[in-house]
Amino acid sequence: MLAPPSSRRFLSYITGESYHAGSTTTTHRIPGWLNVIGWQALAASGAYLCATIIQGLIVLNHPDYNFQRWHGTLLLWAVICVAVLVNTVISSLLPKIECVILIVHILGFFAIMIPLVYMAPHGSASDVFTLFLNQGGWKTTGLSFFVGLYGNVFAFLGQSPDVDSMKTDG
Amino acid sequence: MSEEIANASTNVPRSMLVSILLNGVLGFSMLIAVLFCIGDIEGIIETPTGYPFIAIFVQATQSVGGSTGMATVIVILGICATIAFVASASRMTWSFARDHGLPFWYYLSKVSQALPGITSTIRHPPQTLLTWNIDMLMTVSLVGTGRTPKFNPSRLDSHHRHDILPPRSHQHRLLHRLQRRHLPDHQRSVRFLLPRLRFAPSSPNRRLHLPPQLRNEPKDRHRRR
Repeated sequence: MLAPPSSRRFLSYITGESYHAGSTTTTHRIPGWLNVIGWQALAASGAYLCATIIQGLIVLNHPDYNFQRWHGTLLLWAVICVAVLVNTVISSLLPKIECVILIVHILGFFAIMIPLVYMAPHGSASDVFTLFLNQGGWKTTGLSFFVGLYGNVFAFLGQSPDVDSMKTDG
Repeated sequence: MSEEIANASTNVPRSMLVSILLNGVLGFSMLIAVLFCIGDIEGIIETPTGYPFIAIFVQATQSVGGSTGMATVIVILGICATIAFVASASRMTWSFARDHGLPFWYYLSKVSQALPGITSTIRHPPQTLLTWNIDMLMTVSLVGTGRTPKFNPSRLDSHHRHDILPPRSHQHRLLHRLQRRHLPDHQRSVRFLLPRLRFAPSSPNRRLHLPPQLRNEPKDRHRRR
C-alpha cells in the first residue's frame, strides 16, 4: 500500500494486506488468509523435514528399523512442541537464541564442508557443470530441471509464488 | 515482528539483505562442493534414508557415525529454523487477528487472560494463539501420513507480509489517500489462483539445507512523502 500507484494493484495481491482497514467483508480477507495459512504450512513443513531427517538417520543406523509414516508425524509433533515451548516459556530470550543459531549455522557450514570436500573422491568439473540426468522420466531435461529446482527454491527462499502445491513422486 | 524491533525501518531491511547474502553465498558454495563430491549417483538416489544428502555424506566419509554427526548438525539447524518459523507464523496470525481479519479473532488476539487486545507482543507472548498454532500445525502434519507411500505434505508457500509501517498518526492519512475500489481485481486474482491448486511433482534430488531465515526481501517500499 505504500507503493507507487502503478504497482499498487498488483502488490496488494502479494502483500496480502487489506487496503480497507477495519473492513470485515470476506472478499478482502482472502489474501490475508492465504498468507496466514502459508506461514502455518511453512512452519509445519520445517518440522516435517526435521522429523523425517531424524527418521532417515534411524534407518541409517539401525537397518532393522520398521519405517512407519506415523512415527514421522509423532516426531514432527515433538519438534513443534519444542518450538512452541521455546516461543512461550523463554520467548524473551529469542533474540539471543537467534544469535547463537547464527554462530552454529556458520560453524556447521564448515563442519560439513570440510570433511565432505577433504574425504570424498572428487568428480570431474565437466560432470558437475554439464551433466544433466532425467531420472524421473520427464519429457525433456529442461522440464526435469525446473521440477528439481522447486525443492531448492523452497530450501533457499522458503516461499514461492505458488499459492498451494502438493507433491507426489513421479 | 518488526514491531518488537528497535529502529525497525533500518534494521529489518539490513538484516534481510545480510541474511540473503550470507545464506546465498554459503548455500551456493555448499551446492558446488556437494556436486563435486557425488560418487555413485544411482546409489544416492536409491537411498533407504529418503534423503540423498545423507547418502552423499556416507559415501564421502565411509563412516555411518560421522555422517550421522554431520546430519545431526543439519537437524539442529532445522529445529532452530522451525522455532523461527513458529515465531513468525504465530505473530503473523496474531497481527491479522488483532486487525479482525481472521475468524475467532477475539480469542486469537488475546495476549494474556486478563487483558484482551494488547497491541504488542514484547512482554506478553500470545498464549491462546500459540495453543491454536500448535493444533493447526499438528493438523497440517497429518497430511503427511497419507495412504500413498510417496505422498509428501502440502507446501503452502506465501509471500511475506511487509511489516514496516509508518507511525500510527500517519497511517490514517495514507489510508485515506490510498482508498481505491480494487474489488474486481481481487475477485479476478482469486479466480485465477484457485484453479491453480495443482499437483506438482517433487524433485528427484532433494538436497536440503535449511537456513534459519527470519525474513525475506520486502515486496514493496515505504515511500516517505
